[in-house]
Amino acid sequence: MKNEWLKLLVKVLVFCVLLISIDFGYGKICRYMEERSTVHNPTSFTAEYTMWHVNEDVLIIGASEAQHSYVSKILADNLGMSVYNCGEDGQFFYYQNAMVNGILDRYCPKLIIWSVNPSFLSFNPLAKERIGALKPFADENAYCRDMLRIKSKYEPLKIKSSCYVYNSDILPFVVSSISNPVTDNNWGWVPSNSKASPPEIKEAKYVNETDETCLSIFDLTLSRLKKNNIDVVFVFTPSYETGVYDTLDSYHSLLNTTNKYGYPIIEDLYHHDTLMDSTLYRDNMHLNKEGAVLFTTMLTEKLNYK
Amino acid sequence: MTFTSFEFLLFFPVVVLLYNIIPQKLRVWYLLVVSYVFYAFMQPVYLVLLAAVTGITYGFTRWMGATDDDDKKKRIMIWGIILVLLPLFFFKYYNFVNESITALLTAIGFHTAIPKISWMLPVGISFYTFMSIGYLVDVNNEEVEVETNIGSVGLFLSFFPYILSGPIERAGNMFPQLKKMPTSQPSDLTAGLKLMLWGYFMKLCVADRLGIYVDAVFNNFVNHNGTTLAFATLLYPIQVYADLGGYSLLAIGAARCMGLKIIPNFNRPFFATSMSELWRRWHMSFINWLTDYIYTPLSFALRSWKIWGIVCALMLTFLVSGIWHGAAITSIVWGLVQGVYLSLEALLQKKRSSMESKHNLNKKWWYILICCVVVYLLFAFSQIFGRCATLSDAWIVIRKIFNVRGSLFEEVTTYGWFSILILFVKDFRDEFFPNQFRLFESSHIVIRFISYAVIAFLIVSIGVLDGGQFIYFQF
Repeated sequence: MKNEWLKLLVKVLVFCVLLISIDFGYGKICRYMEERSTVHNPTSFTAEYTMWHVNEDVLIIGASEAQHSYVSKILADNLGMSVYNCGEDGQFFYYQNAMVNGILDRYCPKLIIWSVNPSFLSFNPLAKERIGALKPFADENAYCRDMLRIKSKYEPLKIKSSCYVYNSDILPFVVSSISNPVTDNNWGWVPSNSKASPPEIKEAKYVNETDETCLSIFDLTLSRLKKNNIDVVFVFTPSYETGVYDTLDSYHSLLNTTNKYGYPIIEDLYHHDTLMDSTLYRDNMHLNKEGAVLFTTMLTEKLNYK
Repeated sequence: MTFTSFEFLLFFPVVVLLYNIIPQKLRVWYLLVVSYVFYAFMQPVYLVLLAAVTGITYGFTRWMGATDDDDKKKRIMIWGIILVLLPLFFFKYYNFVNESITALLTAIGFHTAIPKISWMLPVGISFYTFMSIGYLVDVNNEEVEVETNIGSVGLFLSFFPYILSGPIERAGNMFPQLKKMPTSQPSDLTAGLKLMLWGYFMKLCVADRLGIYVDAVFNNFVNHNGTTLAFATLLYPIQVYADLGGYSLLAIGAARCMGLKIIPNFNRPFFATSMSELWRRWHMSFINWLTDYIYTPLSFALRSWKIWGIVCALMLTFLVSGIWHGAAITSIVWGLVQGVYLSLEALLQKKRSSMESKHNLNKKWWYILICCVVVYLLFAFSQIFGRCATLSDAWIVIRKIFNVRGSLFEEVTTYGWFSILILFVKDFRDEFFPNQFRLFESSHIVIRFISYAVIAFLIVSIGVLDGGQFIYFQF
């Protein structure tokens, strides 16, 4: 019996070595293909491009509403600086803060235009759920590692496995690696087309409470931006919604924190009369191509004014 | 804590190790404590309910054991069953009955408001209640001896591998094992871990991957066309099979690592050539329970009605099955549809058998294939009632499937198809070539190791690791 246990133990050890080797090899292959894919197709690998390659003077930070609404070329022409739209679909507070800090580790852009909304500092379960997008950067970026702890206390342990870090990523890597390079003529902006019928206006769903974790993370990010003398402008990106937000605690927290560091918030385009036109929207949360051009033009006037 | 949580991966090896270290006579109590701790991770407050059902089961079976009067024994059993059913009724069916009565009274002109309850359904209540009932009936029928150790009864009802989603264990299988509480052997560990590995693959790579698509379609069925709804309907049975089948393998494997053998729950159901065969392969522990405690007594009681007695017994059995699956009209309809399928099959059985034997159809691959496809389609259709929240939703889905054409919403990823293919190939081999092309069971250690490593690699690299709960947690 003792012999059988010993044999089992040896087999388990051999199996573990086999698994670790596969995991290590897979990690190396994925990392190579990830870098190749990022260079080949930056708009499909926004997170990687933002973290490793972006080097423009002006950066746009935000989620999908930023990705679809800020026309980099219009901003570049008006500001006379290079612009890149780092907006990423479905990635909210934690991701955005991690990206800003990741960029600051490499270089200092001149201006950051940060797309937010009145509930930016309230708890968003989706934002927490999607922190996983930072896994590929956790190895080399302590900030991303800390962010992942918010998701689960076991994340630092789990990310030791490359298979976990690159979970479900291999196919996009392979496809992008073997396909022809795509030139990003829009510098990160992803225009969105209108749907067959324009959206109907609806009530915005704001969250009143400020999340203390978000508040402290945001405060740290802003202090770092300030320390590096980077100009930041926060913009409430238009949505085809109604609703009163100036009584929200989360809104006041945002206002107070940005005021503390002297960073302005452009609010008046949020529910601007000109932009409250359903034909300018793809859906309630996203401007279509025409809407994005109009909004960005209006924004440049505000930025010039400032 | 669930089987797919990271906590479980830390918890389980420690549990198995300590189980083998502590003295044999303490193992029942050790596993009882472990099972209660496991349950407490989910819903600590409902441990009271679990303990109460255990107390009732233990007390009433001991009482039954102390009497020789059959009538008295039967009465005790009935009161025991009523008492263990009360929490299930209260938590699962109270609101449904309440709403039905209110609607009925409103329809006949009485306006009344009976207070609702908004407490969460205790996880696993349907499973441990049915196990308790099974034990009470078995004691009454003198099929098992009364267990005098309350720890064993407690562990039988709460054993952590199966408390949350089954299999629905039987006293006759568990108590003899709980008396021995064997030390794990190396062969138990390897067999258990293999089952768990495959269970994780089924759950994380197949069920949760398909779940993304099926949920996206059914949760927004109004905006999808018939083609997409039909496709999601076809995928849903595979999702459920991989979900509950995967969970069952995890449960069986986890118990096996401690040398305990739990009854199987699935046996490649999609290779069934008739609905009755499907139900002998699908959720077997539940169906065997229904057969032993409802169908057999009913069909015996109605034997004078001949074939119609069987039809009635089938309909009533599957009505209970539907009610067990959920406190909703859709679940009842789901059960009745299964009953109708099986009743029609029972009515046509003689004709079918004679046709099959006349043309020797059972040996023809194309006949087997056609039967499998027809059974699958019928089953998938019935599952629409299991998946939709209301009868009107199910009706809209059915109408769209047959009337509204359009392009397919193509969101099932390559990973999903790849995982389904692996599952299908494995089940196909197990069904038709059980002694050939062995991988996990290969006599070659290199082939075995590579196959374990490939599946482990697939689980972590393409499994949905942030996926949802097991579907049967809601029952």
